[in-house]
Amino acid sequence: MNEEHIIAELKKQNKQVFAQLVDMYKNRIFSMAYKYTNDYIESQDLAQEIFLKVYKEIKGFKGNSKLSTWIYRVGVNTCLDWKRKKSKTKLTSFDVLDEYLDRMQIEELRDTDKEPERKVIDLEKHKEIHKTIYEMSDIYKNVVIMYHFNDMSYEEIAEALDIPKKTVETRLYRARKILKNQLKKLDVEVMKNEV
Amino acid sequence: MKCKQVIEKIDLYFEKRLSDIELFNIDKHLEACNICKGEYVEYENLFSILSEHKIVTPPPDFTNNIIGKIEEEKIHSIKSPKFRFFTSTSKIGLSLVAAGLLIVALNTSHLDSGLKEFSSVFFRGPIGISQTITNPFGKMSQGLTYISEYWATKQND
Repeated sequence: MNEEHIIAELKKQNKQVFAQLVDMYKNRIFSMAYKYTNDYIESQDLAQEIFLKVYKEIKGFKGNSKLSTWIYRVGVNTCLDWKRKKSKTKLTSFDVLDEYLDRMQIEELRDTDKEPERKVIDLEKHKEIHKTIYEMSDIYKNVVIMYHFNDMSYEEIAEALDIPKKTVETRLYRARKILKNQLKKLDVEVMKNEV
Repeated sequence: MKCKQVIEKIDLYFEKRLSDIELFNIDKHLEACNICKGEYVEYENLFSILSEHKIVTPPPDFTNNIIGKIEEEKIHSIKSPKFRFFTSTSKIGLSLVAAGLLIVALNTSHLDSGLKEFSSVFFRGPIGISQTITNPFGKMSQGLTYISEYWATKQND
């Protein structure tokens, strides 16, 4: 089934094709939602909202971009709306470690290929990366998620976010600098503890 | 190649977006410059962590839940015939009220000022409307009376 056919079927509200589409994008969309919520349960609601929007709004899709780019655009806009609504109430505090990260910690420690010390350091780095991305300004967060976790090209990111390609490049450069500095701080702390 | 140029292009180096010549020049610079080499190692570490970063996956029933939600919403959107009747009748009622208000507004639009005058016309308005509506019927029945009288006299003649 090619993209045109998939779009035509989705416009006819074909639930079977839509279910396949959800299966195809659920990991990326869910992981994007998680980077906004830092809460596993809220991520389910947010990702569900994104897919329901895709189902309802596909009729208006004119095919000016790739379907995946359009889906990510819907995703980013829904995440930003969610954040706006949430900022009026409260945002998840990072002091409380999400249960998913707890689970990830257990799995990481079970990994027998790594030395115990290495495992702990790697886990700390992954947590630091997640925390830094979660706390990042949206303009940087979006480009990092799209480039590094959703494997999107500069052109696709530019199209999805409706910004020039050069801006994508600049934002990614700055976002990586923020991440790099956070990791550097963590390394310094680890070294201090070792001493 | 100068340090500034190397630092500016270091992330492109890891994205493999540099030409062969640029790659060669950066590699050559890194061999000789410890400051840039340090920066290179930090970016290498970052790109490695980002590529291994574990993404959070949704629960196994995620897709089924979404399809279930769509079906649920579809059921809610189909209104029962009884409900549809009420909504259609209420629409007619609302249209009549709106039409009535419009006629009142038109009848009172000639007023210059004065609340007293307005209120008197406001109360007179509905009477006027009912007269306007009933007058044609009265005139029709009058006309019918004339016709029947006319026929009766003609037959008598």
